Amino acid sequence: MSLSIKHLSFRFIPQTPLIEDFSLSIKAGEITALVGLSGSGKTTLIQLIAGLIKPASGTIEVDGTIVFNDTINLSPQQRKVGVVFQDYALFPHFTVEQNITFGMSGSKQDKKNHLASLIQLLDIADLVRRYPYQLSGGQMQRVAIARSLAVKPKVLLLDEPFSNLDSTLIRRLRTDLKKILATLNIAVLLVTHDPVDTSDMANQTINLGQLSSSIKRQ
Amino acid sequence: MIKRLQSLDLFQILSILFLSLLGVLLLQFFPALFTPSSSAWMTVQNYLLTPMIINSIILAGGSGLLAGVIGVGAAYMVTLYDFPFRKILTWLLVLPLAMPSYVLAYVYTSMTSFQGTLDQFIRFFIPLSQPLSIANMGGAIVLFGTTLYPYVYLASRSFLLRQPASLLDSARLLGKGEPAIFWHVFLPLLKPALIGSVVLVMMEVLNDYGLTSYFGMNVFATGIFRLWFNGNDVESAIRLSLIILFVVLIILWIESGLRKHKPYGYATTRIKAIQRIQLPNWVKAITVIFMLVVLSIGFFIPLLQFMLWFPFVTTVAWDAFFSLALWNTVALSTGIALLIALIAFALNQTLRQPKSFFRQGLKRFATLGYSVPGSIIALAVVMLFAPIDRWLFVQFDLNFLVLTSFFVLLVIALVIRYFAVSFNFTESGFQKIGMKFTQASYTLGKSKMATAFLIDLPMIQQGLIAGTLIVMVDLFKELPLTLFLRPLGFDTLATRIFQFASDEQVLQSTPLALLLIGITSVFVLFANRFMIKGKIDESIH
Repeated sequence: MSLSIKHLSFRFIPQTPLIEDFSLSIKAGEITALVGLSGSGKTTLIQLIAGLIKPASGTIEVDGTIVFNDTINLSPQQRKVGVVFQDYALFPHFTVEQNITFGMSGSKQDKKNHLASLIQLLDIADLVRRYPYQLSGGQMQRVAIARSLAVKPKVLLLDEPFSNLDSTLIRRLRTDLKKILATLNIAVLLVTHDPVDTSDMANQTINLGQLSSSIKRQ
Repeated sequence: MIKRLQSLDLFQILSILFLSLLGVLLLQFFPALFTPSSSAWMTVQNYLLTPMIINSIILAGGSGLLAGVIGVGAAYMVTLYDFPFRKILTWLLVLPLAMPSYVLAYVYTSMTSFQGTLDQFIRFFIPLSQPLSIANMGGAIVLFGTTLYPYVYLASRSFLLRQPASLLDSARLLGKGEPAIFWHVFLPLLKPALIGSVVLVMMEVLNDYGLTSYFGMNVFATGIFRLWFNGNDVESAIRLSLIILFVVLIILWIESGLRKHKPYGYATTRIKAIQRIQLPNWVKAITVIFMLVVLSIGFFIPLLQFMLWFPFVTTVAWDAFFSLALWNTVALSTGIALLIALIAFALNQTLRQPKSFFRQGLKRFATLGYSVPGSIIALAVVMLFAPIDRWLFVQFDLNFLVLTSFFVLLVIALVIRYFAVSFNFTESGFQKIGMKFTQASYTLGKSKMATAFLIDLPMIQQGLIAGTLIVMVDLFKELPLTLFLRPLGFDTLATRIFQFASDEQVLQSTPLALLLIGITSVFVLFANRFMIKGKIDESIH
C-alpha cells in the first residue's frame, strides 16, 4: 500500500513546467504532508497521481504497480487511488449513504458490511439519510473520507481537507483524522498550506519551495 | 489509428458524426465560388441583390436595436426597482417568446385592414384618409422587436441577478444618480450579454420566412426561396447563400470582437444580491405602462383578437387536418428536441476537457446552425441528400423518395438549426458544476458513461430541461424548414396556419393559433421556471 513517484514532470503551458523532475516515496501507514504556496502545483500533483491529468514524463507506482510511465497510463478508475477533494465534491443529489456506496463493488451483502464498517469508523451513523446540503463542514469531511475509502484504495490523497472549516473544529478533526488514518495502513498524501497540519499529522513533510512555481527534486 | 477509433465512446462517435455532417453541408457551397457566373445570377446581382442586402440589414439592425432597448430596459427595471405588479410582470415578460412572428403578421395585417378591429377602433376617434398598413419595414421591425426582445430580457436579467449589491451601493455612495449608474456601471458590464442576445435576435430576423414573405419583403430568406423554388435557379440560390454566409460571419466576427472583455471577478466570495428600491410614483407608472404596451403588442392583442374571432370559425377549421397537424407537431417537436438534447449532451461531454482553442473552435462551429438562415440549411440538406434520394429511387425501383418520406432531410435540417439552443443551455449547466464531481466519480471507479448518466446528467438536468423546452417552443413555431422539406401531405400547426393565411383565411386559423400559442406559452413559462431553479445562464447565445 505504498506510493512511489520518480522524475515526474508536468506543464500546462509548453516550455513552462509547473512540476519538474519530482520524486517522492511514501510507505504503507505513513502520512506525508505536501506544503507550498498557492499555485505551486499541490493540487495538480494530486490530479496527476489520481490520473485525472496526464504527466509529461516520469513514473508513478501505486502499491508496486506502475500506473504511469512512458508506455502505461492507467485511467483513474483503474488506479485504486482515493481522493478527498478540497471542497469534498459530495454528489448533491445523493444521500450520504448513496454517496458512500456509489463506488463500491461486490455483492449486496459485501457492500452492506463495508458500509457498516465505514459508518462505524467515521462515526456517521446518524447522517446516512441526510443530503450533503444538510451537513456541517466537519460532517461533510467525514462523509468524503468514508466515500473515498469505500473503494478500498491503496493510496489516499487529501487535498486541503481542513481549508473550509473553522479553527476550533480543525483541531478536533485533525486528531480524529489521524486516528482514522492510523487504522488504515495505507500511504497517505496530505496537501496543506497549514504548518500545524504537518507537525501534528505527518511523518514527513515536503516543502514545495518558497517562491518557486515549480516543484524541484526532493 | 484503428485502435484510436475503436476506443471511441458513444458520445465521441455521435459528436464526430454531427460535426462531420455539419462540415460537409456547409462546405458544399464553396465550389460555387470557382464557377463562372451565369446570366441568371448577373440579373439577380444587378437588380435584386443591393436592395435585398439593404433591406436585410435595416430589418435585422432595427429589430435588434428595438429588442435590445426593450429587453435591457425591462430586465433592468424588474431587477433593480420595485413597482406594482413587478412579480407577475417579471414572468409575463417572457411570454412573447411563445408568439410566432408570422402569426403576429397575419393578425395585425387583418386588424389594420379596412374594417379590421384596429382600423375601426382608430376611425372611431380619428377619420383616416387611407387604410392603415403594417406590412412594411417599420411594421416588421415593431413586430420582430416585440416578439424577440425576451432573448435580450432573459440574458440581461440573468446577468443582473448575479451582480453583487455592493456594486450598486458603492456607486450610490459615490454620489451617482440612477441614470448615471445605468449608463456608467451596468451598461458596460452588460455589454457581452447584450451584444450576444441582440445578435441572436438579428439572426432570428434574418432567418424569418413567415412574416417577411407575408409582407412581401425582399430580404435574404425570401430571396433564396424565391430563386430556388419559384425561379428554379439553384445556382443563384447557392451564390446568394454564400453572400449571406459571408454577412453572417462578419456579424459573428464583429460580435466576438465587441464581446471581448476582461473576465470580471469579485474580490469577495460572499455576493449579496441586489436589494430592489422604490421608484417615484410617476416613474413607476411609466414603467408599468411601458411593459404593458410591449406585452400587449407582442402577446395580448393578438391573443384577444383570436378570442374575438373564435365564435366565427367555421367547420373548415376543424377538419381532419386539425388533429393530424397537432399530432404531427407534437411528435416531430418532441422527437427532435430529445435528439438534439442527446447530441448536445454528447458533444458537451466530448469537448468539455481539456480546454483548448481547438475545442472552443469546434463548439462555435457546432452552434453555427443557429446563425445560418434556415433557407440555407434547407438548400444545403437538399443539395447533399436529394441525389442520394434519387439514386435510391432508381436503384431499388421505389415509388417514393425514401429519405424525404422518412423525414431524414427535415430531421437533419431541424437538428442543425436548433442545436445551439440546447447546446448552450447544457454547456452553461456543465460550467456551473465544473469538473470536481466528475473527477470524484472517476476516482471512485465509475466509467465515463456511468459518470455521465449517474452524476453529470442529474446535476445539469435543470439546464437540459430548460433548453429542451425552449427548443420545443422553436420547433412548434418553426415554419420555413418544415414548409420546404416536409414529405408530401405532412402538416404541422405552423404550416396549417401558414396555409390558411396564404388562402386569405386567417380567421379560420384561430383554433390552430390558439392551440399553438397555448402550448408554447406553457413551455416558455416552465422553461423560465427551470432557468431560475437551476440558476442557468439564460443567454441562449
